[in-house]
Amino acid sequence: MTDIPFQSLPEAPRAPATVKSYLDEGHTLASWLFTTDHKRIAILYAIGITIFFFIGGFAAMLIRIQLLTPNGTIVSPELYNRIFTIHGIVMVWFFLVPSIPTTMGNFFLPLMIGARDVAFPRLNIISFWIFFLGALFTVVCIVSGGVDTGWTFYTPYSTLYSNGHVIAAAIGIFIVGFSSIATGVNFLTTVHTMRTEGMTWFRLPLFVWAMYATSFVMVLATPVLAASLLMIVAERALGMPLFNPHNGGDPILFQHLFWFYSHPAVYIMILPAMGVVSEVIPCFARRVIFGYRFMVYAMMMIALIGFSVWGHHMFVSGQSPFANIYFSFLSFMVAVPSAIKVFNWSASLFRGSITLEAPMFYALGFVGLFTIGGLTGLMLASVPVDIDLTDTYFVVAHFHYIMVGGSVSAFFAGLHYWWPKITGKLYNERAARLAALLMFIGFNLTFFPQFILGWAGMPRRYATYPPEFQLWHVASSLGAAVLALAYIMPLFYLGWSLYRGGKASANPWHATGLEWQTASPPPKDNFAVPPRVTHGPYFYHADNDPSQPTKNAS
Amino acid sequence: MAGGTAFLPVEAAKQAGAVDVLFYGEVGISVLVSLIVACLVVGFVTRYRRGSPASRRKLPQAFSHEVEIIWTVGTFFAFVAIFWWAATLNLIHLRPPDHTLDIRVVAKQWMWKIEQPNGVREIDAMHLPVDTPVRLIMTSQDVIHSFYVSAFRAKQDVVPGRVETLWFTPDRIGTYQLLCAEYCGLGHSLMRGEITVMSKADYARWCARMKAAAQVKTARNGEAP
Repeated sequence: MTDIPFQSLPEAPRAPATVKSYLDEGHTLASWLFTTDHKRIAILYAIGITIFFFIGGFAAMLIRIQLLTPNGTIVSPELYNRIFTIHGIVMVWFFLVPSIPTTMGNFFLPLMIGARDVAFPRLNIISFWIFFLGALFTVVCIVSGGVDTGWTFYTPYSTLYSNGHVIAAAIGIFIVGFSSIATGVNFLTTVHTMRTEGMTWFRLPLFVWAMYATSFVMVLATPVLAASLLMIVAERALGMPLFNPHNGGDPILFQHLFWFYSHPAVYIMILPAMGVVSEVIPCFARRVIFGYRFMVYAMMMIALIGFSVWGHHMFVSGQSPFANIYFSFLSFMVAVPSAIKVFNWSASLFRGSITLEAPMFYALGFVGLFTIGGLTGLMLASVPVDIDLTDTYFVVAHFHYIMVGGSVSAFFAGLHYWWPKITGKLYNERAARLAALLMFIGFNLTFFPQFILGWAGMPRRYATYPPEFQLWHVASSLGAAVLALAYIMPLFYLGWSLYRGGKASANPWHATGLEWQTASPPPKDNFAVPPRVTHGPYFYHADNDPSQPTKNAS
Repeated sequence: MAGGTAFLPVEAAKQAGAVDVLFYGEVGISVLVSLIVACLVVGFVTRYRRGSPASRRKLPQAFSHEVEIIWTVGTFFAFVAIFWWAATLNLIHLRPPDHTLDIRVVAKQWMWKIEQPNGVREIDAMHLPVDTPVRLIMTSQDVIHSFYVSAFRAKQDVVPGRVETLWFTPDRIGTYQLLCAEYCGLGHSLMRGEITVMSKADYARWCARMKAAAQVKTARNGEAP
């Protein structure tokens, strides 16, 4: 970053006030459902994933109520198994994987690189419909027929022993995978071919780099998930003995294929979050991001090494002990770039001029929770410790710190940061800060006790449990109530802002990304004149910052 | 369950102590790093809040690169060191000693079937002599289960069509919980058992008594029409 010359802020080519916003380009239902505008598609996705988030969240609440008492509070073990399955499937594939890329990625990737749309607008709307219909089909199948395999579909349980609509659910997820691949291809092509004049690779905002790295993982990993789900269908529907050991199949083969996708999928969920936070922190610290190039290299290294760590999910599966050592080593290595990023975010605050609006609150929460999630990940990468802790609540707590504490916090950071741009409205800052604070407290109350539970020996996926674990389960469930409240609050104050919120200016945060240099909300074609870029994305030094009183510059 | 709290679960096998040293060591490192990050973030947010009188001069150009290289290399070596600690601990306990007490375990939905070396059978229960290396020779009749005794810090998936082994040396007399750790269907959370670690003399007496009882039972069954 430091080698990019900072010149004066260029005259932003603003859209004339008379230009219609993308929201006013047609008010019919068809103008939304069959739109090819990346911004409208982002809104469609946002509605879709919000529905799925609350379905998955409802299942989570049932889980936490069930576990209040050792013998199960409300449902039978049969129903409990279905509930944690729907929670996992919906949250992973229908919320976390698409969450940031399909909403903020779709909306802001073209804006941030000065493009009029993504490279393949029609593919974009098709991928939305594939996602929405495939996901809806899967959820209907799970609710009506019940799938009790867990989101991991481990064989031979899923293929030979489980009752319920496993085939239909597998086909549904298989279909949704195409949407992921299409989005990945679309973003890769867009970044390669549609950058505006002067937008060199090392002037790309880190959010764009995050989308780029994520898209690579989506395109390369998702086909492997498709292949493994297809094998489940082949064994379950056609009786092909692929995993059945009694006819020469290998039950462990499935785990290798599944985690070859599902570990990189963790990076599909966390890299976009890193991108969002890298936009928010410089803006509210009024400071250039520390070590821009290292941040880029770190994301690319995470995406790359992320493909070679899948075996750390299988330390007790019976794979070779030397394979365990191999995967353990690479898991430690993938943590190096993640640690660098945490240091860089912290260092970006140094000599800043910091304000704590809601997006910054969420972003700093992300840094803390991601740090704890990452450090507990190192413990789980250590083979002897993992042998004790795998398949316990310690693992549950660990990945919720990464995915909920990390990705979901970042999702809310981005949502609040870009809300004025997307909707043209200002939300109630006080309500937003309160929700952010509640989310941070509720999250820790819910998931920190689960670390203790796991260390004390409480296994995952237990509908009932030995009574000595009850205290920590009750603590966790109380935290979940706070967390649920914090997740419901934005529905109200953000919804309220749509009708009663103040009108947002083009750049209410005085941010420097290209997306802020057009109207709020942007016109259909994004920019009246394609912008020209002459400097890097984080142009926040106190001595040339328009939002700063000059006395702080020295 | 003998002793132990949620924070300090009971250690009842030889390897458990070393695993716990590694675990608590990593917890210590994690707490330290978390505190450093928290202090940096909270400290900077306080010191550099908007309007505070602190200096906002630009950093020298070389500074960022040097700092990056220092903490990249530093983190790398720190992580390699922790990996080394964990990996060696794993490798030195990999091979069981030459003479172990071999016990056969068959898992099925939703029970543990145990067979002692002298042929005595148990269900959801396992009796073991203290201070004796034990090797479990395990398989599953249906889906994947996982043999998990937290007090021994021992866990191994039990896979159909394969023979998996797990070894440990119980070093504390008492009863400990056996749980299934790999989701295996409806009765997964009830697939529990009890490990009883006895003195060597008690174990020998228990084996003899059970063996005799089994022979009586077999003989009676033989006489039956």
